[in-house]
Amino acid sequence: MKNLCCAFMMTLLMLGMSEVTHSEEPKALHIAGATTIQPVLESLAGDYERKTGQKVHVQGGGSSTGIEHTAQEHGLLGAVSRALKQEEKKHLEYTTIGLDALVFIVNERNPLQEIDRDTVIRLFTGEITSWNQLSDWDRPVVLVSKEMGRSTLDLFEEYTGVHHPDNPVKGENGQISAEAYEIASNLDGATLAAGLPGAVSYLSLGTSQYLQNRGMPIKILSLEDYPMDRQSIVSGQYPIKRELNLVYRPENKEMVKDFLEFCLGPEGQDAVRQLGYIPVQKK
Amino acid sequence: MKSKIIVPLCLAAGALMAVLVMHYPQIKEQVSPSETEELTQAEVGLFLQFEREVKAVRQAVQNGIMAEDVEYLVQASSKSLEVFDLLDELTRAFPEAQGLEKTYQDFYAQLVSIISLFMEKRLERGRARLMELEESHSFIDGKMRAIVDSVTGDGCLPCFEDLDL
Repeated sequence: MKNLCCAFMMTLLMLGMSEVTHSEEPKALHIAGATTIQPVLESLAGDYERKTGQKVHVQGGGSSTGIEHTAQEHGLLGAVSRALKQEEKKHLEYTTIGLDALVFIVNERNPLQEIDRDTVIRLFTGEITSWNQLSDWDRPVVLVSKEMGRSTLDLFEEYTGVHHPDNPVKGENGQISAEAYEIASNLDGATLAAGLPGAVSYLSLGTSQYLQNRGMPIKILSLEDYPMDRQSIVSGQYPIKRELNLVYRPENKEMVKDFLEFCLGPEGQDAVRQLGYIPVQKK
Repeated sequence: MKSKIIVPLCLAAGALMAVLVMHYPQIKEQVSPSETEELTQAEVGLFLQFEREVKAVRQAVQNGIMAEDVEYLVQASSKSLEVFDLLDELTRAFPEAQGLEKTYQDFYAQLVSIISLFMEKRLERGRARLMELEESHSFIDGKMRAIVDSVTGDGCLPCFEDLDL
């Protein structure tokens, strides 16, 4: 009888322990935002789960979604592929996990090798309509631009002074031609520019290099003779660079601290490098 | 997610096939042999190859979305460039084909825009876009048949089954 009681007590204790273990299992981390950062986070999600047991769910939507997702507490972390604005910094904190630059790309069949700001403006406002206005290649220009709410568009607007037609602030150099195809993610942009011979677009350097290395028929144009290497981008010499940030509410810092450290650690920074971006921590 | 992509596609493709099958005998009957001008086998081959390549582009993008694999998107864009080569040839052979390039371009842009919708899990808009895409593809088919029709008086490409290709 005594043994039976003992066994019963042990069973209860084990059940209780398993309940404790179950309730201590960390909640999944939901991250939404910039599609530029999405592949880095997706490649880290599995490793992080294996290491800590915490699941990581990653969703795109663009940098604006990343800010909204975190500010409105839909999730603990948001991905934002640009520097935070002053008003965003008032209620959100951030960690920069990598750097990227904006580049101009054309189809690999296009003979053009380099481009300057003035030509970009003339192309995207619709002034230049055929490539034979710039070279001896006779193809209509096909513009590929980004939809509102994407930080790649913000960078483009800032650099060129040419704004999206729906931007309430008029661009000092006009607005993007209504003929432009509008895309959401970098992957769409690259696939579109790669499949249309006359296309020109602006994209993340990291994504462009990564896809080009995988065989995507695109060409990255050199911009006004600026070198596109780590040193030039880190020093700010290259004119259109951006931060890859993870944002969170200050009160949630403790809950995201481990994941942020993981992103800044060797595995995280290696993923940043492998996907074509520039790590913030030196090897 | 696969079934969410495949089911509307299969339904739309099935509906399209049904319409084609229903109308095929009527179209065939409407055109008498005396009204048509024969296309050369090479010209017929161009149209059929165009049809095949457009389908291959579409298939590659769909595979890319389902497998979440960039390789398929690389394949889709390379195939798309081949479509443009064919369009150049078609335009040289048939001036009527001039507008086909813009139609295909719009179709490809619409097709590619679906990638983000599914990758970013905006499924409702993705499914709606898939249905629009079906119309866009049918529009290309319609344009192509109109070109064949203006050349030969017979816009029915399946009639080429009689030819020894």
